Amino acid sequence: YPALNYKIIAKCSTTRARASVLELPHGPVEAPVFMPVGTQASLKGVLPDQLDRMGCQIMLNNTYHLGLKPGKEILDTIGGAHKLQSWKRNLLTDSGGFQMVSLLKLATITEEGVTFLSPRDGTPMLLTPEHSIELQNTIGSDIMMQLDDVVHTLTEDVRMEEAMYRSIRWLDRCLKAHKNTETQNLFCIIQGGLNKRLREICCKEMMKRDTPGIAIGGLSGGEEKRSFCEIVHTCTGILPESKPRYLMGVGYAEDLVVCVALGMDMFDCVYPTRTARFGNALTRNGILNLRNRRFKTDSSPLDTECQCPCCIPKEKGGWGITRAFLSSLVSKETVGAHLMTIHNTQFQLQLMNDMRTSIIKDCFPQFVKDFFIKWHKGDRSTYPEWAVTALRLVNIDLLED
Amino acid sequence: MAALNACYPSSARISSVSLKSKVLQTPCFIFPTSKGTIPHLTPDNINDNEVPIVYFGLEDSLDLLEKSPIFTVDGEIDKWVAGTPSQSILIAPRRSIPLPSVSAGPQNIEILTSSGLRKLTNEVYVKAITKLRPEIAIALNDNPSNVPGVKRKPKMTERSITWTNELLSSLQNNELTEKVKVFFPVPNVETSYLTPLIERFRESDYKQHITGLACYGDLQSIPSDLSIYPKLFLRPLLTPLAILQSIHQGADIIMADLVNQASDSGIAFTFTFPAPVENLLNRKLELAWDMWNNRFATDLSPLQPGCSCNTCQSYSRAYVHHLLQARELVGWIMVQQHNIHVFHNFFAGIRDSIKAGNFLRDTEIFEKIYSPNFPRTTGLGPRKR
Ligand SMILES: [Zn+2]
Ligand SMILES: [Zn+2]
Repeated sequence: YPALNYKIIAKCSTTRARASVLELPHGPVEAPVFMPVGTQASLKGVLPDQLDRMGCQIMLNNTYHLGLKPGKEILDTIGGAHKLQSWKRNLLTDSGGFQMVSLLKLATITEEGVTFLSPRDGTPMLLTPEHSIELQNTIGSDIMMQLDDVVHTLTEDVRMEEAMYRSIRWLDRCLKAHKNTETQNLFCIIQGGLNKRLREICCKEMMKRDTPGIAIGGLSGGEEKRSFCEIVHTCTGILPESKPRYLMGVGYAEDLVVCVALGMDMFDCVYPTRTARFGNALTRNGILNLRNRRFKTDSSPLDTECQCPCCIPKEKGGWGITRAFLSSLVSKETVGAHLMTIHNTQFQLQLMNDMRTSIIKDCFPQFVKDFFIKWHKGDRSTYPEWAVTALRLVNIDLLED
Repeated sequence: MAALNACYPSSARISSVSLKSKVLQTPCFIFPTSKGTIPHLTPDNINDNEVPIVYFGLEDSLDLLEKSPIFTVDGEIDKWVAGTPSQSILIAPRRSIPLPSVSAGPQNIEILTSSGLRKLTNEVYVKAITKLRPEIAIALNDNPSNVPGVKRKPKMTERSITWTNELLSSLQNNELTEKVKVFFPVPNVETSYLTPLIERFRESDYKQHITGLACYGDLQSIPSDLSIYPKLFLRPLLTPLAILQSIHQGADIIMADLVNQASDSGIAFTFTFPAPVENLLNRKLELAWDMWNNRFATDLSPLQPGCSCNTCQSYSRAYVHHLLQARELVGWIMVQQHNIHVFHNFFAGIRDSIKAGNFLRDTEIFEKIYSPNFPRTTGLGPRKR
């Protein structure tokens, strides 16, 4: 593939976890990787150069939002989203379909595409696979996603099967419409809900199309976690080793650890940055809600082990931000949200980095156990059943020493 | 403090204020914070050389008076706020542009915290200063937002004196006079009501322990005996010209509220001091751009060509315009960074101009060349959604 060179660096000898590198037009991406979401061409409250300094190698933009603002014409004139944002690293864009279906209640899906009412003036508009690719070609993202037929995970089988087959047909249309194969990669999206048979068919059909990378879609909607993991396990059992695997819309810490063990490489989610703005800090010892009264007089950093500038003490060149100060800013000052967003983003990046290092050292199973014990503050009885079950599929028994 | 250069008939002057950690070259500005933060900017987006000192209105953090976390948590003010180590902090009782409050008593003023009105006594305020140890403290003072009556005015002066005395003796008892410099709060009353001050300042001991004046009223009403002190002018100044005029009237330090206001409305400064020499053919130069304007939608040049701020070094007008249109927080970060940089240069230009003896002439040219006011903005601020 002219715009992607994928290399596996190391494989875990127990689980399906792998450490790899995606060489993309805007530099390397070391996987497993979490991709922060900059919906409207910015991560809320964090400048592109701050994100770059955090070591972020790839971020997301949402095609639907960029299509509205600044719009295709302006992006064409400017020369794409990298230029607009002065972002030197890689970009991934979604197809816009998911946003449309989730944001616009009145969207209807036909074989041609997604019909919706324009949020600007209410006139009916149509997003086809061809439009989506044209817009993503204009944006110039390093990884583009096919338009897929997104239905809720718990949709009954007939509609689910229709959506799955339609997504395959739409991939063919996307591939045909894609004009920049030299500089942009188009990933397919596996659909099929929680139905293993449909997922198997979809994997095999999509693999025939030989896209540079493969995504698993339709699994971020809060469905039953146990079947969610089984589906991921089914797919990673079929998908070729030699291609990056992207699990769309997943970003809770526990989910990331389990899904890396199941063999996934790439993840994105608005949760870490959104929850930051509501005053929730992610730490290795669980989540802190800074609005809780007990933090008002707590002069410790969010997480003593965190390497973000907020948590590093002033003596060591950091900002030495205390929980008490953050709690006085939460939902009152934009800077409070910015600081929390920086911390949570760093937490996500660090978590992925630590997993990667442990895979390379082949001590990933131990990492997983250590992670869970800390996340649950030493109390195994609170481990979620789904995580224990899923990790058994890849030979880790969380409950055993 | 010594006036090095006087520029007749203006009272503009070059001087300096020595603090514990640094010497401030004046005229300069002090940046108002909100709950201890420079709006929109995390510490890595602040250039310490450009914002050497910030203003912290203690009422922002006194919801529970003495039981507020800022009191009960260990450490000084530097430890409380998300600052960079080299930024000095001034603490004042109220915010830079406080919400109206009227009543006061012999022992207290009324402040407006985020959980409502509270009575702040000088006892609590002095305790706060002694604990928080900022580099500058303005003593508690009674400056009502409405026009005070004839009976109130002498009391205002009296209260400034009493409350400052109490602060000074607490600082002396705690051996903090070197660490915490005190600015005497000159109330917003006519000169005749300020004569008791002259008496007080005659005492050599007092003279020595006051570092500057915090002027809540007109600069012209300050008794000339006190003009040797650096004057922090606390009235809001909304245009660059108003700032220049206040410096002519003898202001040494001014509040930078207009920077926050401009940045919140998505306005990017373009003015310089001295003004550029241009043949304008009766057309006035704009003081700033309204970055909401659609003419910037595809403009890949920096906010102000040649500007060396972080925003202009890395990002384009098109991006800032897009971010504002999309209500993305990063837009305000960028405008704020740029505006602080321009404002810092504006003050460097003012000091150079005074030194060179050109300040009066440069002010006249500035007035002639620039529009008097900032452009109207078409957009909404970050908090108005
Ligand atoms: Zn942190
Ligand atoms: Zn600039």
